Amino acid sequence: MEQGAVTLGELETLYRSELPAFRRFARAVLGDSEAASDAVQDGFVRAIRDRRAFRGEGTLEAWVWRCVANSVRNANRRPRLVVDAPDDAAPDAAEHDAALRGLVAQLPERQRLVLFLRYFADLDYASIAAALEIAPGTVAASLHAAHSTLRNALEEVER
Amino acid sequence: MNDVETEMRDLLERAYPAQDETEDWDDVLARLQPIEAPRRTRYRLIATAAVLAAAAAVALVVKSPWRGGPTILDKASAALTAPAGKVIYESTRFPATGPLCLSTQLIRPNQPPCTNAFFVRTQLWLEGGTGVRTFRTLTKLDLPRAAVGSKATLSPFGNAFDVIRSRHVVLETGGTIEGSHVRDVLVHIGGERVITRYTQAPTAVGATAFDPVELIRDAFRTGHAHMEGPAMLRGRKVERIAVELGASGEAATYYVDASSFEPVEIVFKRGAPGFPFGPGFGTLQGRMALLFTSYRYLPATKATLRETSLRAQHPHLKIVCGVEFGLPDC
Repeated sequence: MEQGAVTLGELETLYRSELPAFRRFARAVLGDSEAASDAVQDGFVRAIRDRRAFRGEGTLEAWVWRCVANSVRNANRRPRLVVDAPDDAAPDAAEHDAALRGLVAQLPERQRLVLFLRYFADLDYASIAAALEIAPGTVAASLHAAHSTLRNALEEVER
Repeated sequence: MNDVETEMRDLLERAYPAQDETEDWDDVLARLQPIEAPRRTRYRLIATAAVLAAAAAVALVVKSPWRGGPTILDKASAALTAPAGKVIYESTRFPATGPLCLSTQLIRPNQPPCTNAFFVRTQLWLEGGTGVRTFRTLTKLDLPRAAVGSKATLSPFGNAFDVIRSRHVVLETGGTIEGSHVRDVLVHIGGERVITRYTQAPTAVGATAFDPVELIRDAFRTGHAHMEGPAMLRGRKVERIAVELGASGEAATYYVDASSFEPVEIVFKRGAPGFPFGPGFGTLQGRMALLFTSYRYLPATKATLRETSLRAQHPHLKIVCGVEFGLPDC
């Protein structure tokens, strides 16, 4: 078995098993299913092209998340038409969820990415740090800041 | 995950609901083409060299007295043999509504005694080589809301009941193994402030409870693995290997990649109670597929060796003795 390098098969397996998490993360950042799908596909294209650069120091999953996160960030900088997903929840809940999405959208980009990688990708702090190329302490601080902002803002909304 | 994180996750999951996703790997490969195309000349050269090398290899084999070479079983077995100086990294998952039931003692009335609607992802880091080796597993369980507040046996040490505080449980185990014998184990449940240490008699819990691939290695070692032939699995060319293990009739089908011989999937078919993950999971009712998302040999660096140690991950947590299988010296 090849050691140290990523095989196409490994990337394909990761794509097939993790696709819902990748798409959900991208959709949450971009607010648009089509753009999210595109960004994830492009992230994997990048992963395939750069697979020889993977040194095996962290997990393959974290490294691929870095490729996808970069692709999503690039897509987020391009102008596009944002179409929010339809909501099947009850009206009150839908209103609350829409308010939350609005609050999340106002967070700084890094906080949003950390938030979604933590909860949709289920990554630990070290993996999030590796995926976003930031220090683990910055992950903790960003997450804490996002929590505080959202909780305070939600309390305001609920009053 | 603490209460704040659990609450935040639930809020976000509702605000950004999951959708049915259609995968399209071919589209990924198609997007690769336009930029890869200019390299065709180089590929043609590589292809020509490969054809010449193959022809030379065929000529050698035809003239060789040791024709035949290693079988597919030999190659599949070799692919699971970790060299010293490496760290095995394994990432696996099995999906929700599987045929395993995680035993729970639900506190609320009118609830079933166990749940099979869960999703498990496990990562394993294990030192390569032989002798005493350290390992660590990181398991993430996604459970139904109804399971929150119940008690379940989360660790392979089946007598310990843990209260499920969240739908998303993170369970870490680590310790040392020698051959297929687990010498001692540390267990840490996400959010808890202590690590529980267990030492045990030789036969209570084997290495397979932490590393299902050990079952396959064992089958190769003892001659209980048999070729079933080539197959296609989710668009991938694989080889099927039938595995029969133990007096209790444990059986599985092991799929390996047809060219790299790396693990692709294990389908567990039947076994004694607790097969393959430990007593907390009851008896397998039907087939359960364990998918490999990665199986690699990482260089044994300071960073990767740290991944094999649960203690190194949580240097400040207090260690307490587990009593279920604990020996007095714990």
